Amino acid sequence: MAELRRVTEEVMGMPITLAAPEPGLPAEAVADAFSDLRWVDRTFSPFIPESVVSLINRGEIRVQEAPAEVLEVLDLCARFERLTNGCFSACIGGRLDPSGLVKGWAIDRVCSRLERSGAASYMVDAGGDIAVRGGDMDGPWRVGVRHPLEKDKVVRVVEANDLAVATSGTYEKGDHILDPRTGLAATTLLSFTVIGPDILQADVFATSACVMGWEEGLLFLDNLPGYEGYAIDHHLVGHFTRGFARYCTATCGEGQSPAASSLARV
Amino acid sequence: MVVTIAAVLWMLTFKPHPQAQVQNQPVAQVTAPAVSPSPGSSPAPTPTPGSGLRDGTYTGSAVTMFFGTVQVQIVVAGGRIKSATGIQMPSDRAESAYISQQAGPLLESEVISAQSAKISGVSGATYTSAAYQQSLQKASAEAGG
Repeated sequence: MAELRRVTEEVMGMPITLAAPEPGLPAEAVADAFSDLRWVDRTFSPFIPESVVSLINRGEIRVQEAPAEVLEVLDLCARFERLTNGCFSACIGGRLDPSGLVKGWAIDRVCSRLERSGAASYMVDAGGDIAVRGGDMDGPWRVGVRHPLEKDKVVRVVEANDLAVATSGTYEKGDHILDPRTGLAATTLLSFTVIGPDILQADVFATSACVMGWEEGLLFLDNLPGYEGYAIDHHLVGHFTRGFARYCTATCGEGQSPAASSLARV
Repeated sequence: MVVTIAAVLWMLTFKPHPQAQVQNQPVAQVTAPAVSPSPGSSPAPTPTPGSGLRDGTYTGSAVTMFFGTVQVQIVVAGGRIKSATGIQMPSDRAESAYISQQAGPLLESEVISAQSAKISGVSGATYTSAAYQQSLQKASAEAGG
């Protein structure tokens, strides 16, 4: 199997990888993409004192004075807060922090840049949130869903030409997903993976679904055309929307997994 | 809200984890029990030793979400939730009544090493802003900042 051409840089506090089959992505497009990601970080990071978000939080500028991109992000945040009944919010504990949406938004911008550069097949992986287009060298892209407790293991392999895969969870850094409605950590799930056409939405929905819990989260996703969910609870039991299995290859359990058999009966 | 059901289910499901339960107490207090055995439930619920769930079929109260009113029914067998089904759904979503199928425990056969899976990437929870913040704060503290 031919190797993918990969470029990885640490931006926004996480490794971001751009990959493509041979001959790889145009160098200029890759440089542009990383430069844009650094701009996004400088603009939106609540941890950078000079960022627009920090300026707004300190009351040094009014929201209306922010650049168009910031207004666009805040508008999207408000939209998803309504859509998720408050399970997603850019305002936690009285401070503005749109990071939960900015990551997907930034990946989306990278995808657009790569498209404009003429790339037909590529993968963008920002800290485990992944958008793929076109295909791998040998067919569709294959993206693993990480085992929540064992870092080097995957529990499902999702296969598609064009897809966004986003996972939120409570396993990596302790209980770090806060329920905006209570301010408490959401602890009912180990992880929630969302797949669908759009990385921004998949990412926001994965975070929101972690807050909702698996029952409401799966119900929520089941009513969003094009999106599927896969939740792993504290008992290491997987729950998924009925369309999720369509994207999974038989590699995990070679088609003999309880999941595959129980779905077949449905 | 469906959260009500989720929270109650969660409390029942995770009774053996008192620490986690305490953390979510405020949610549970706000959302008093919404799940009660439905009149038509199959065998009379029987207690299952060691778990907070009684076997049987339970129906949650109807709740309104952004896309309409839904009502969820769960089936408990062997002390565990076996399925959750939306029995009342907005009419244009009738085909969506089925929510999820429990996959069963993640058996060894389902778990494969990332190296052997011929995959291009792995989706997983890495950093969220809060995690990033915590980690940054720790790093700054260690750095004496």
